[in-house]
This record gives sequence, C-alpha cells and structure tokens, in this order.
Amino acid sequence: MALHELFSHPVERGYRAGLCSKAALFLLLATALTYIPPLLVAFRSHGFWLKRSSYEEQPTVRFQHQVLLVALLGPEHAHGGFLAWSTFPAFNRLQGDHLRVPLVSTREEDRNQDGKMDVLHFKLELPLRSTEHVLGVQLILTFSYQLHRMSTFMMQSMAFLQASFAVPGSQLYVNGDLRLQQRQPLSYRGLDVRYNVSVINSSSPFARDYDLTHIVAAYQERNVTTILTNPNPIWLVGRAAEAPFVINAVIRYPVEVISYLPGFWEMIKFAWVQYVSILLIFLWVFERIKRFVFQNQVVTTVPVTAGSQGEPYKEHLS
Amino acid sequence: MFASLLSLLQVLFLMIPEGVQPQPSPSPSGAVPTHLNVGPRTQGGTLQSSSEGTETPWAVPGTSTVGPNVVTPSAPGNGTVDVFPVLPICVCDLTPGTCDINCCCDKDCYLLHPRTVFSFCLPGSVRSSSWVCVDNSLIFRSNSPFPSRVFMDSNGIKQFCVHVNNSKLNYFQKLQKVNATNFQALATEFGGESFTSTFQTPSPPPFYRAGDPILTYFPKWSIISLLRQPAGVGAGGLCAESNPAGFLESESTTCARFFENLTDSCTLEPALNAASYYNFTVLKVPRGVSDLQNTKFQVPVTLVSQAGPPLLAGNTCQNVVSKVVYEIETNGTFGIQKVSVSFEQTNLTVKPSTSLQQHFIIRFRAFQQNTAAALSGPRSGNPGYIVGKPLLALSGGIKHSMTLLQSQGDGTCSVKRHEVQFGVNAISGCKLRLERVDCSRLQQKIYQTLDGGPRPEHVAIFGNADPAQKEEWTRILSRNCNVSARHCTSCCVIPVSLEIQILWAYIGLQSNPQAHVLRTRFLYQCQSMQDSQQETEVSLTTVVTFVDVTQKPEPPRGQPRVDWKLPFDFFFPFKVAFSRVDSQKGSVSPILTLCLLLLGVLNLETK
Repeated sequence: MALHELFSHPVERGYRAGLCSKAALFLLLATALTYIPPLLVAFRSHGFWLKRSSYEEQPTVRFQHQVLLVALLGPEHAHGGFLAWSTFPAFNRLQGDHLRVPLVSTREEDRNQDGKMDVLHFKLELPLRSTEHVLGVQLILTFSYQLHRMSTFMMQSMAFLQASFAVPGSQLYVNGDLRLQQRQPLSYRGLDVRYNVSVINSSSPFARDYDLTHIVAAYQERNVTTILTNPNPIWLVGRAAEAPFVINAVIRYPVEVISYLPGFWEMIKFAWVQYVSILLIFLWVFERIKRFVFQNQVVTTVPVTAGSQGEPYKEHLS
Repeated sequence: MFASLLSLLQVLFLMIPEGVQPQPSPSPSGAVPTHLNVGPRTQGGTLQSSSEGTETPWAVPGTSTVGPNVVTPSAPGNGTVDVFPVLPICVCDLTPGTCDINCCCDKDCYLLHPRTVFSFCLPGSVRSSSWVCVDNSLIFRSNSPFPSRVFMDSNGIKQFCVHVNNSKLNYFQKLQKVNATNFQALATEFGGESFTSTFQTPSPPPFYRAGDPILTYFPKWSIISLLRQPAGVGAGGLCAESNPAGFLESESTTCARFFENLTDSCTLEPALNAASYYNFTVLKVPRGVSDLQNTKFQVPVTLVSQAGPPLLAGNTCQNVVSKVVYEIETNGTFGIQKVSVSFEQTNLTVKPSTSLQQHFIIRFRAFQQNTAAALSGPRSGNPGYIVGKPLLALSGGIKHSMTLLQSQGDGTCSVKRHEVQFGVNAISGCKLRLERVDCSRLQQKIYQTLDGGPRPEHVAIFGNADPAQKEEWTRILSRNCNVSARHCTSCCVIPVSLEIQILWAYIGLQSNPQAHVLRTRFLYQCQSMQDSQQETEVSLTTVVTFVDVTQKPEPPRGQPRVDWKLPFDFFFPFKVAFSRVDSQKGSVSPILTLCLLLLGVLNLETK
C-alpha cells in the first residue's frame, strides 16, 4: 500500500553567535536593507503621500430667487441702449426709466425624489415696445450650494449668462449645467462657510454694488465658484411687435467630482499600503539570503536545532 | 523596430532546428523553392519567377535596408520572357494609348524597367506580396512551411526572403446572386441607414386616427389639401403655413408674420383674410377623397361670428385676423361631424415694416358632448395638481385660474394677465398710472388690479375640484393693509405688492403622489403716499410662491438621508454586488465570492 504525505511542518533551527560577531553585523545589515529600501522605493516612485483626493457628490443646490437682468437694446433706440430689472429693490430704484419689470417664472425639480433638486426651469418674459430690439442679455441667477459628504461646505454662488448677437432676438434658450469650479481643494472635514456670503449685496443702496464688473470681479476672487456651462446658447430671432423677449433656461445640478485634502489617517493608510506591498518582496528575498548565509555558514555561527531544546515541535494554538 | 525584432525571432526559429530534416512544405507554386539554395542561383530561374510579376518584398529595417525588388535581372538573350511586368488587370492604365505616369504595368510606356524612370510605382501596378527578408548569410537551411526565395538587393547582397501569410492576399470569393426577389432582402440585410426618398402616396385609410392630418377640399379649385395650423418654425418663429393639424390633437400655436409693405399685403395676403380660413370643406373621413362630388363625406366650416375681409382705410389695415379658433366635433371612426371657426380681428397701422402675431387654436371634442361639462373648463389634474397646470380659484362661485399682473411693452399694466401655473414660482410687475381720486377709491382700484378683478375667495384643493362642491375648496387667507395712515393725515396707504403663498404637499402613494393645496395666503404690502400728489405712477408687483411642505415618510431601512455623515457605505461592494443579483437573476458570482471569503476565514480559524 502506497503511503501519502498527509501532513508536514517546518522544523525550526537556531544559529548562535556573539553580539559583536560577523553574523550579528550581517543580520543588522540585512534587517536595515529589508526595511529601509522599500520605504525609499515607495517614496521615490512618487505618490507616497496622498496629497489630493476626490469624491463624488451631488450638491444640494437651491435657486435663491435672486435675478439680475440687463437687456442690451439696439442702437436705434434713442433711450440709451438698455433695460434692466432685478429682484433687488435698490437696484430697481437706481434704474429709473430703464426699469422694465419682466414676468419671471421658475421651477425647481427633484426628478429622482432623493431630496436634492436636479434641475431649474427658468423663464423670463421681458415686455418690449415695438421699437425696442434686444441685441444682448446679461443675466445673473444666484444659488445656495451645499456639499455634505466630506466637509460641510456652504456657499452662495451664481450663474452668469451673457449672450449677444448682431440680429435682434426674440428668445434666448440655454440648457446647461451648473458646474463647480475649484481652485483649491476642500477640507476633508469640518464646516466651511468662507463663501457663504451673498454674491450681490442686496442691502446696499450704492450703484457700484450692482455693477456687473464689480460683481463678477468679487466673485472670481473666490477659490470655489460655480459656473454655468452652456456651450451654445440658442438665439432665436424674429420677434413680433407685441411679443416679449423670452429667456428660457434649463439649468441642471449635476453630480460633481470634488477634490479635497485627505486627512492624516487617509494619508497614512495609503502610504502603509504602498510600503507594505514593496516590503513583502524584500522580506521574502532577504529571508532567502539569510537562510542561505546561515545554512552554508558564510558567517560563523553555532547551529542549534529546535528539537534539542526539548519539545519536538511547538503546536500552534489559535 | 518591432518588426525587426519579429523577423529576428523568425530567423532564430529558422536556424535552430538545424539537425532536423527539412520537411516538405506545401508550396502553392512549384517555381518557389522550398529548400534554400545557398549556391549561386541561375539567372534563368530567378527570371522565371520574376516573370510571374514583379515581386516587391518589403525589406526588414535593420537586416536589409534596400528591398531586393530592384533585382529583376534582365536576360538580354531570353526573348521569351515578357519584359513588361505582367498583370492581368492594370488598374492605373486610365488613358489608353498613352503612358500613365508611375503606372508600372502600363504597356503603353514601353519601359523595360519602369522604376528607373518612375519615382515610384502606383499601388496596384505591381504585384503585391509580402516578403520578410534577412541577410542570406545568416541562413543555412530553411524548413519554413512558407514559400521562400533568395533575392539580390541593389548592393549585391543576397537576401533570404520568406513569403508570409497575409490575409490581404485573399480573394473575395463568395459572390451573391441578386435578382428581383432577393434584392430588397439583401439591401436590408447589409444596408445601414441611408438617404431615402420619403415621397410616398399611401392609399387613404378608412377613418382618421389620432395624429393623422385632416383632409380638406376646396370646391372652387377642386384641390385636396390639409387643414392647417400655422406654427412658428425655425429661429425666426415665422409662420409655417403648411403645418398640418393632427386629428384629435387639440393644440394652440403662435407665430409671427412680418410685412414689408402692408398697403399691398393688407388686402392681398390670404393669411390676414378670415375667408381663407373657412372657404373649404373638411372631409369627414379620408376615404372621401375617392368621391369628392359626394357631399356626404364633407363637412362645411361654419362661422360662429361674422368676420369681414381686411380693409385698407387710410393708414390702418382693419379686420386683420389675429386669432383663429377651430372647434371640431368628432365621432369615433365616423370622423369629423362638425367644424366651426371663430376669429379675433385687429387693426394694424401701416408702417414700413409691420409685424403681427397670430394665434391658432384647434379644439376637438366628442360629438354631442355634454356641453355643460365642457363649459366647466379643463381640469388641472385628476385628482392631484399637475405641475405647470393653472391653479384654480373661485370667486363668486365661478371657477377661474389665478392670475398675476403682466406688463405691456412700455411697462404699464396690461389687461392680459399671466396664469399662475402650479408649482412654478413667478414674479411680475407693472406700472400703474394713478388718476386723482380719493384714497378709498384708489385703494379699491389698486386692489382690483393686483387681484385681477374680484378677489378670489377659494382655491381648489385638487386639480379636479367642482365649483358646486364647497368642501373641495379651501378659503384663501387674506388681509388688506392697515388702512389707517400712520404719521400724516393727508397720506393714503396703498398696496404695492401682492404675494400669493401656496402651501402644498403630496398625498397618497409614494409611487403615485398627488399634489394638493393645503392653504393659500394673500399677503399685501403697502406704502403710504401723499394724497395731494399729482398724477403719478406706482409700480406694482405680484409674486407667487409655492412651498412644498410634504413630510417625507421615513426612508426604507438602509437608505441614508441626505444630511447623514454616518459611514453608510461601509458594506458598499457587497451592497452593489447583491443589488446586481436582484436586478439580473441567475448571477451567482457575489454569492460565490462570499462563500470563498467565508471559507478563507474558516481556514484561518482552523490553522
């Protein structure tokens, strides 16, 4: 009857030598070479410390129902070229004859019923005299923008829309995304309300606070902003005399990839993963080298079998 | 580089089995030697093979820089060999009787060695074959199964070349037989999308189906046409005259017309003339096309109100059609039973360039429908409100939709008002010129302007509310401003803005929620003004705000809320894997993974 190997276990073997012997020096050297080079390899191959990371989140965006509209009129209009309106009373007061109150209707829609708004339908009908022709439009809509997953980030942001054409228009159609623009990463935790200030200072009575260049300049100073990405606004022409100029906008709030600064433990975790995976190779290689050196007595040692120390083998209990 | 490595490998492969006997290779042509002849080749033999066509072996970079194709040794004494490279079809010989440049197979060129004259040979003018070459001295014996041969390159170095398998050298073999029966089948099987001519003349169906164009007949000219509903088209929004109306599709369209010279167009332009909208008969069913003399299949268009033709009186063009409303009664497959039309007309002043906006409305209803029910107006939802439908209000027992102010082109208040749409927040405003009347009259007038007539008292809870059922309506909370002027006695407190706040919520099944209005509030904001002032303008604002106060039920277990920061994605891969199992039955991989994982854990335990 043939015999099969049913079970096996390694036999431990000790090698003895003095602390100041060649063998001890070799061991010290081998240990150092095992543990330090993986660290250097991991570090020099870049990306050892995770300095930036990113995550996905759909922001909680709400339209703040603040609108600032400037409609640029054709040159034949003797009245000085523009009509304006906003939801800010002070701005409206400043406009005088240029004020023209439009009909604005908005609707925010939560398509997947997850509690976060997904899209804003915005429609503005600006009544015009038959002699007035709109050649360009500047429109600011403001939003409150919040992120929750990593750090709680709150800001008040805006979507700025500017479109102009050489031909008098009847309608402007825009269908775009409200995208987050980051100039610097967010924090991984905590509350961030740096930019939770209104884009347009609605309490100010001064004209310069409603100046578009001033508003845009102050807004662009921020490191985190939102922009309206609409590759091509559609400008429709051919307005009947009594018809209003219509701005039709569909603004979506898409899922954003947000970059953030990883926290301490996240950094350590990724470094550890890299280090250990390289270390395993070094451990295996140096184990082989050490075994070769000691088995073949390259350095002088006194071999001691584990069996001579009493127990034939140690049972590993778990 | 890669190619040269490949060829080196090939060389190695050829060199290694030196001791092995050369195997007989299945060479397709007998002229190609399978066994490498290291000794000098007879000129005739090479010529023999070259007479099959000019071979163009591609030289392997690194091993041989110049292709050995230059070596087509001439045999001055051998007259039997055709000096022209023989190709059965010379694809580049396009001008008969003339030598085509760079066409190496053109017999009109009478060139012994076309390459000496031409800078290159056009593709297709030389026989294509793929040769991979190495220096001949590297090869001792070839046992490659592929045909091989030795060439001499321009430097006089012998090159050993192997003819490699190349799928490009295959022929198109299978030819389809096409006849009348399988033509269409082949065209559909192999054809993709292509341009098609859409001109089709189908036979008229026995009756109209929803969306079918409605046929009309002009008895005066015996012309069949379609019932038209002009609609704005393109960037200009100009009226597209021939836009057909769809059967049973009640629709309303608006479009603009521009007139360069209204003096002429006023009377000549048919679009401005009411008569052109009813001087035809409508076919009850499309089948009526076959028998146009039979009036049984035709319905005349009846006029609800008299509409005169356009009239040029001085500087105005009178009786211009601005709105056309068709009312069509239908009766199932019996088709159209009655068509009536009504007009709205306006006057246009003649200017160099005049524009006009026209409205076209087509309404369908069932024949002999209960007119009382039809009078009550359309629902805004059944039962729950639909977003975008008008918000229903009740004032004095009459149902109407709630409205907001609207301004005219010059910013003053318009008689036309904007309908409040359910779920759509809106703001509007206009300027109102005040006459000098006493304060209470003034207030009354402004309140009326803000409210749009008598103030609505109730608002419908659901979109299908019946004015007769009082419990289906909820009272609007409203309060006028404090009338008493505060500081001055000569002041008049007038309202300047109205905010309509509507609290609404979803009710019913979460999968089929129905929106209903909980309560509505009218909020007026007032301003005091000097009573003694002259005629002034006051700017009025109306705002409507919809607030969703739906209390969402607790989300099902395991679904996180928006504001949670708990590590709810801890078991993310498992969740994803198992949710995928749910969606596509029969996938066992996640279960298998889990089992393996469990097994692994158990193994660790027992070690």
